[in-house]
Amino acid sequence: MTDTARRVFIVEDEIMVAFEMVDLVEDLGFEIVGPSIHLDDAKAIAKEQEIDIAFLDVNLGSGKTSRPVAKALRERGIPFVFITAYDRDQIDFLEPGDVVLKKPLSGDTLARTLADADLNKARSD
Amino acid sequence: MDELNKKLTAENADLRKRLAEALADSADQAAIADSAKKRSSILGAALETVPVGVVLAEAPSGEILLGNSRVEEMLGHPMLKSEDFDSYGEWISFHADGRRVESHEYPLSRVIRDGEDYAELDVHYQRGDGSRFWMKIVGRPITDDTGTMIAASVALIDIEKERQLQREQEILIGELDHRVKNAFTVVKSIVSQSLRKDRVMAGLRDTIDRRLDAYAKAHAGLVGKTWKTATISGIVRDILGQQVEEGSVVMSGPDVELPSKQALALSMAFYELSTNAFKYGALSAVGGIVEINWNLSEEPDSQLQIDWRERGGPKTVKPESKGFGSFIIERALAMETQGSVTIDYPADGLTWRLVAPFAMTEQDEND
Repeated sequence: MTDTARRVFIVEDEIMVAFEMVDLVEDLGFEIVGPSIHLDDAKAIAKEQEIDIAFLDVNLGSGKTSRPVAKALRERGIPFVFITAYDRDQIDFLEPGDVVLKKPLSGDTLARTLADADLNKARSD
Repeated sequence: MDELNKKLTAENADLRKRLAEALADSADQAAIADSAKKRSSILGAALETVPVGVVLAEAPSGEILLGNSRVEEMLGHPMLKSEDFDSYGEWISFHADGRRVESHEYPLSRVIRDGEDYAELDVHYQRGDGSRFWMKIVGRPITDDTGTMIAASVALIDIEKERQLQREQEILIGELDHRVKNAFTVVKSIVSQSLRKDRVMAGLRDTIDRRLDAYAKAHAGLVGKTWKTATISGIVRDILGQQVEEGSVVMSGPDVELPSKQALALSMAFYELSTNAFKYGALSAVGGIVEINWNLSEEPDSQLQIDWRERGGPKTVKPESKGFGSFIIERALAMETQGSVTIDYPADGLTWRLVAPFAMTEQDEND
């Protein structure tokens, strides 16, 4: 683990689910960016704020997806993980190497994903 | 009838005279007659190429003159040359409620007899063999150069497939509703059982159970409307219907349809506010009243303001700690609606206000 708290950005349009994730991630000792429950807000944060890793709910309601958020993060080289209730092949904008986690997400999966991200970060540092 | 005949004969004679005059002016009468004949046969052929039934009736009598062959194909019986608009009843069709469609209800009659510029009707038509299918009838007037209606036409469109899909969709929505309710019931049982086995206080178990109920109910309220919108008054009635009837909850405001997610969030907030009012506020005392008012400001930048005001209850006490309930009525709702919530605790009753931007049109932001 690094000394400073890692900053985790959460995008999830179901507010209850968003705050459940916030609690889980905070309990694991990470710092939260967001959570964003609207696309416009999520895009702004993805472009500007300091983020180490992001969890992106794919479907943001009313036919919106987190695709633009992923694009902004990709351009800044920030790693992210998609979270969805759909199957991988139902998402039409995935790129090779994109990580997709299935909903509902357990606390264990969340912890493991963050730990993996830590390892990757340590390797690339 | 005699008079009509006389009139028609006179009109005919007049038309013939005008035609003769026109033809006299022409250098080549035969060519004109030939081209008129050609045009008419082209029109006839064109009518045969359209994939819908077309029926023409004369105005003002309503006598049915002709129809393309698609009409007979669809209806499974020969064209009925009804002699006037009072005879359309010989075409047998029914409304959705099973009532027979009467002569004057058919679009041809509504256009010719009532002067409608556009008439549309969906009917359950009974074919020659007794079977029925859904058909859309669309009628328009046909006018001459002077704007006088000389005929009317209707298009007959087979919408059986559409109706079938609609019925299937209704069944699916019903099934989805059923499954969602089932899932909620199971979730409730899991939560309740776990809490019971772990000896969590009955009060908390009950609170969680009711919150899940409220959420499930709010969901169910959206099902009938294919999950898209719900009205504010509908949300209030879902939660406080009995109190509205009794007069302890008074609401007023324009018809506002909220998108489903905002409707759910507001529904949860009203549920928490009402729970609080029953326990400590206006609804805990005889004669206590909750007023719920809302309004929309003018466009552009239309804002929705909703007020919840309690009075006539015990002296207001500001809660010391913030729990799940206050998260729901403040932060969650403010985030969901991208608005702001203010709560005050004057002695005569709690006041709660939401102010949020209101836009029903969702932009496509998938750029």
